[in-house]
Amino acid sequence: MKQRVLLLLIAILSLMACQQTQVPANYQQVKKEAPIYPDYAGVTIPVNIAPLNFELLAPADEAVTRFTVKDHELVCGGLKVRPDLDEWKELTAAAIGDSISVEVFAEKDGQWVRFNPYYIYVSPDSIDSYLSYRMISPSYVSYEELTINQRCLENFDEQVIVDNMLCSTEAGGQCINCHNYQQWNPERMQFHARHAHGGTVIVYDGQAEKVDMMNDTMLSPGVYPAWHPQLKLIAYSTNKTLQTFHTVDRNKIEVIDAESDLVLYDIDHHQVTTIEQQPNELETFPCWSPDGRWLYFSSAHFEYASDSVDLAEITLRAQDVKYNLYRKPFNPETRQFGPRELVLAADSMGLSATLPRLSPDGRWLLFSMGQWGTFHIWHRDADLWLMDLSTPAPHPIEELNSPLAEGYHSWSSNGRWIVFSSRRNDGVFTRPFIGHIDSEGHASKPFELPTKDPDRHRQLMKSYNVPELMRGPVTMTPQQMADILKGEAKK
Amino acid sequence: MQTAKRLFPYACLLAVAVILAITEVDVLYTAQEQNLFLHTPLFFEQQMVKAGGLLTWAGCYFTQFFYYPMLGVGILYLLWALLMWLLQRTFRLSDQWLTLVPIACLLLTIVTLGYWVYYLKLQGALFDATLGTIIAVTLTWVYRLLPAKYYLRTLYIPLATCVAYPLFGFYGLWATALMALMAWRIDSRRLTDSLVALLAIIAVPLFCYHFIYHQTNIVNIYWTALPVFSYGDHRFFAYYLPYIALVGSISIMVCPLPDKRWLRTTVLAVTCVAVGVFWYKDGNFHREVAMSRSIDKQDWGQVLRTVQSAKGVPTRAMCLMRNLALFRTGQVGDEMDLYVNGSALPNAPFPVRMIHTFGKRLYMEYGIPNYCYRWCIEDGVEYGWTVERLKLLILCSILNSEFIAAQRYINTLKKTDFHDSWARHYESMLYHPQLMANDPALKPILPLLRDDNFLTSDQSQYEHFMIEHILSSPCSTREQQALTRFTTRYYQRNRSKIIEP
Repeated sequence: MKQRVLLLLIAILSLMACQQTQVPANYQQVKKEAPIYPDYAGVTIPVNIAPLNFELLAPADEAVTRFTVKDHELVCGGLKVRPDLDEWKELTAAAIGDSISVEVFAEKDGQWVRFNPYYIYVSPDSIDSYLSYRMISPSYVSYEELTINQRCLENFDEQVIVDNMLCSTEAGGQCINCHNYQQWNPERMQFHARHAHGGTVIVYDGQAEKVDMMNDTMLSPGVYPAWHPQLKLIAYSTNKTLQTFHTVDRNKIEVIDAESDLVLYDIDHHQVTTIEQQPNELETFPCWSPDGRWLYFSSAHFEYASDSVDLAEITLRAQDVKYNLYRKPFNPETRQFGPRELVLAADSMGLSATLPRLSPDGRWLLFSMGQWGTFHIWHRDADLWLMDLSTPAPHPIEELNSPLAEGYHSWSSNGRWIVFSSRRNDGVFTRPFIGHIDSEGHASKPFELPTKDPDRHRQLMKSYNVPELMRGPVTMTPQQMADILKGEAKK
Repeated sequence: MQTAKRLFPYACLLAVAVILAITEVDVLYTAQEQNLFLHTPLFFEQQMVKAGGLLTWAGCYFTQFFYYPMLGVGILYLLWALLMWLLQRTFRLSDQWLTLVPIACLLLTIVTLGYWVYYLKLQGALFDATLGTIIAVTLTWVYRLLPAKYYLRTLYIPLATCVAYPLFGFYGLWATALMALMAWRIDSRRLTDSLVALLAIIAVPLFCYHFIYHQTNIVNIYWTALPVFSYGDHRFFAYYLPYIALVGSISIMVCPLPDKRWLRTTVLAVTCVAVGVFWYKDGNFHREVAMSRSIDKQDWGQVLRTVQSAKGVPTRAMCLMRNLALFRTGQVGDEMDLYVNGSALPNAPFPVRMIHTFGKRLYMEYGIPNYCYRWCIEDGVEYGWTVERLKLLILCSILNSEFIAAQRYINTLKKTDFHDSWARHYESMLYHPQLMANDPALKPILPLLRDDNFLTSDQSQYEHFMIEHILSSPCSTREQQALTRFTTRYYQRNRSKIIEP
């Protein structure tokens, strides 16, 4: 008897497992697209991206989704649509240079409806396989749990690279920030730690060390980094930063550099040299040209009424601080910089341009533009702009921008994708978005980083900060990173 | 008669629970407001990134029942009764009375907290010790029940440690230590089992540190799931005494205790005295949390009655909450002179800043939602997300007409068991903002909202900043004029009382 029951159970389970989701035969057509999160309608994706899992936001008891490319079909059931990874790979491979049609059928009170299909365009351009970012609560001054994570873009694997809690004690912790790589190479990485166990950790082809580059001529240890594309050099800004708070304005916080300069750090010789230290100039956000012969940066002209730096004054006049884009020639042989050249006078447009990033072919300059100030991720008006350096005519990238803040951005190694952080979902939490830019600088609708549970980004009370693409994963463990952080910093 | 004798300790426990529910009703309610439990896989996942994650997850789950303090205490009572029963079974105690000692320690882990309710970073702290102790004792009981043959007990020790440490943190290791002690009592391969237990206690956390978790500093791996009573560089060891006594009182049960009446009487008397002495009974603290709860309910009369009942010098938080009640009830004249003013320091061994306790809410009530929002975020980052912070973030976002952000927080709050209806109430305002004008919580704040923006900072000096902000008001509404007059009048009379520690 027992054996019979067991066999029956196995049979039922086998039947359930074999039962495939069926597209409903009878339905009413609804003349609109299905409301889904994330909004993947009309986006362009790289062929090697993980499945674009999404959830249906329309009230429904059941849903069926059909992905179609030519003669390939993939059908998923459920309000949360999570295609199988292998099947998704087959689908995107079949859709290279074409589009995937996505039809959503929803059932409510026994009645099925079919929404208008939407399309996902599959670019033949692939994207670097890994993305790293800092996971941080949307904090202003405080910090507690901070991690630098890496995510495989081809699936949903996520690992921690650095976790500050491994070094934190009740008495004090540290802020970890500004992870950066030389030419998307995960074996050549740097990040900073502030306060307890402070210093900059530089990893270079398996060798890792913590350095303290601070000297008397510097305003602070290195802040915003830029690896030279070929040499063992990193350009940094050094910044005297303060944070103040709006009593009414929705932007809520203003991050201001009361002073800032640029320095160059020689990894082999542990030497710091000054690049830019002009009076009344706030230089920041360095970025190398792909050939390593130009250093681009942002700089704002600001004259204090008195001779000395006055935090109260720059706070009061914060809206007068507008950054332009400049560049300086660099001779890799002599390691000497030439004089600065103006690239974009954003202030003449009444705007402020920050975070210049050159495309790998050196043609396109991508930057963040806001009304004023340096820290555009807290500025709702901040947008991404693009400038063709061969015909300087900057323009906002309408396809990528939203009414809310677009902030940190970086290029893929093939120059066809950019990843950027945006607060467009709720104005509070930044999420990484990936957008395609073709060889003529035309952008396509970006897509939000897909997650295994499509609702994850609506629940997660943390922001993705400083998204940077990498050719592969960082192989050092968080514990190894913690051991380096706990060690003495090399002067 | 025998049954009555056996049940009498449970009756005593019930009496303690009733006292707890009556005297700490507002504190327990506040504890659940400073807690958050979400029915989401992500919340569970986020708890499980540390050793002891299941314990804190369960602790958060049970803490939310203090929304109805009697219900929360009822659950505590049942868990404590279960623990007493388990203790008697596990250690084969002849005397049930002695099981009241660890229960008293568990009670003290709750009633000694005071202002730590706002500062503890351990999630679900009010239930963690109780649940952890039940687990530790249960695992020890299973060890005892296992047959001695085939090295089953010896094999069970590392197995239990490997499972219990990741799930219950310190309490899993404590269970292993109890098993090592138990081996000596039940004469079960004493040395082998003790050595295996010692090895497991040392090795399992180290293994987890290197290969599983990345959230705990190696110096803390043996103490996960225990609260950390520290502020800056200072650590307050006195608050660990109930935990030490708890471990001691249960560990000693492994040894057969002499059945002496005088010993029992002495132990119980010392326990009663300790509970009485260490129970945190500060009147100002209890009034502060009661007043805060009354503000939540918009019961301004109760706010004033509570402050009037105070004996001695009030804290600044009490004075400010009282002033808000006076302003809201239109008592903006000489009525303020009927109340005692003062700046008694909060009775805590560390500096309690109003901004971490009641200041956030008052910022919003006085029409500066941005600063309330800011401190909710700051505290959320440092001390964890709580129901109170989410509610304030929702109210501030609505007041700022940031409806998408409000929806975001509302969606989160809707995942709780007891605050779903509150969230749905305010969700309706996202689609019908005109409802704000009739909402008892938001209506009086709307005319206090200002258009003139300043870029500034309060430097954690809540009251100074508030005065300056109110006195700089453009007085463009009748309510702003009234608030400015009231504030000017109050501080002209009480200038010396505004120093915040």
